[in-house]
Amino acid sequence: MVDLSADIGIPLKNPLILTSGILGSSAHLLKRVASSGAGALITKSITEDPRVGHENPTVIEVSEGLILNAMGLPNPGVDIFLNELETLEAVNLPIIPSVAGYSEDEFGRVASRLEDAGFRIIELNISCPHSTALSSKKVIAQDIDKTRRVVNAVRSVTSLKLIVKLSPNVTDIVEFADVAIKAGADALSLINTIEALEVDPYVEAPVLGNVFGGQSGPSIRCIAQRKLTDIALAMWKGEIERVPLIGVGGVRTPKDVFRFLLLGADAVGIGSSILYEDLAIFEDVIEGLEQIMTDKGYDMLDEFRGKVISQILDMTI
Amino acid sequence: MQIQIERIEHIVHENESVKTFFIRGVNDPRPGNYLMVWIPGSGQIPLSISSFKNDLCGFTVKRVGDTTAAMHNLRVGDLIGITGPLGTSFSIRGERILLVSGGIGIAPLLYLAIEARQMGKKVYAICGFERAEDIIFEDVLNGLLDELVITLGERTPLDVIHKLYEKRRFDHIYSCGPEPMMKRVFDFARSSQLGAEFSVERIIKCGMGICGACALPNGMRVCKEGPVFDLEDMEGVWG
Repeated sequence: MVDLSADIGIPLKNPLILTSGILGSSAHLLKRVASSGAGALITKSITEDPRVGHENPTVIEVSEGLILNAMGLPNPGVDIFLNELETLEAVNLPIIPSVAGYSEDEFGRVASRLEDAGFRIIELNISCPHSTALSSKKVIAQDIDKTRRVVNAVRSVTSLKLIVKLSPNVTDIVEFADVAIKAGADALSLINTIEALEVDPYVEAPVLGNVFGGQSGPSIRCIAQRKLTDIALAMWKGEIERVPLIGVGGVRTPKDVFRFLLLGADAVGIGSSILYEDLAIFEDVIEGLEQIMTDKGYDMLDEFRGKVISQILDMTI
Repeated sequence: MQIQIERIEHIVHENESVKTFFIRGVNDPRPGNYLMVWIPGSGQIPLSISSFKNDLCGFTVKRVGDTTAAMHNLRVGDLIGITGPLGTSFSIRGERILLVSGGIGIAPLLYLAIEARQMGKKVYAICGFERAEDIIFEDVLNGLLDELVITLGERTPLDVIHKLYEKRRFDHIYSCGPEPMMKRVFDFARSSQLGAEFSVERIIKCGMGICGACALPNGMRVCKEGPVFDLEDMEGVWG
């Protein structure tokens, strides 16, 4: 029996995490996902006040593995969210609230509420590419100064463990990783969705209700792997501080999880691929990962985690 | 599932606020399935399939908001985006079945009635409407069913269900309509030890089972594990 335990600043029984934005909106659904085998759950992003989100179509499948969404951060607001979670019977895995906001103060206030409610760790969603209506403007995670200010603001008002979710829609993601860590991030998750748009050639119109959206699904896995690698390489080289990394983007199979771990991820997010595999994905991936490790003679994740990063370091100057 | 663009082939005005639209290209829908219908520039909504014959798929739309109003403005030849058929379907269990609807809830039950009659089953229906002018499908149902009872206004299907049960001894119930009505049908079915299935409505966002917006208190997703739920599923919601 292999040991799948992982650590992202808090211990996990296995490295699989339900990513933010997928199914994590109600206590009842979280409870279901909790029993599906995941190591931790990240909720839908919570803002201070309720948000209805964007008009439909909010999620479209462009082709197999290529999904666009512009949900627009629909959520009931932090008060109702906390009431909802009170109804959740104790689950035996960490629930990580995702926090979004429109100012550093809002991030700080929501984070404080969550800390007061007993949470130990949150994710800061500073990188949703379509959170304001019809906005093609830059989000927090595309602006170095805003990234620093938001993470700083939350750090200064809470002692929660902070995961900062980074955007792939930047020239140099390592620069953003460095700023987030220096401002107080305890871990990084990446990538959020990739800025995207679809237009229908028959009706000659954009398809998403919000026009602009973010791409997810297996089609973005190699991009996520590249961004993860950029940050891991900088960490391995000692150019930036080493903190736990949660690799997110297009993960669907046990091999995908194994790939992200080889590239230095401490844990791996699963999100859009639930469209194809449904909730069975967690148990199936765990079983497959155990099989891969058994076949290769690995007993625990640390025996191969980051192995390919070390290899790339040797190959590059 | 990807959006496919289809042409509106035919439109039937059922009454002043209800129209049935017919399109091709929907692959083998079952009674109870729904479509996500995208009206370019005006949103996307879930709509139950009300008939399917000779490759023509019908769905019936009541004008209630901006998106359904935009739908009502469409004409034959206009293009809409379709995703589906989606969701679960009615089992068509039972040999003497009762349909209980409220308002536009008759839409998915019409397709069920057509299929059940073709299978040789006895089909009875109690259809509630607010006003006489809201009644739809009366002629087709009269030609199809073994008995049709229409209730209006304050008199609801639940006011006649016991009497019809004594007379017809139906063995399975299918219901679609306002939730308080379906909850009472649920209570009746449970106390009478009858099987029952319900087509449940929620705001559906993604229609793919990944966003969680339509989750019921039992954790089931209406868009993927519904919209048709059986009595046992609904124990955790109405029980």
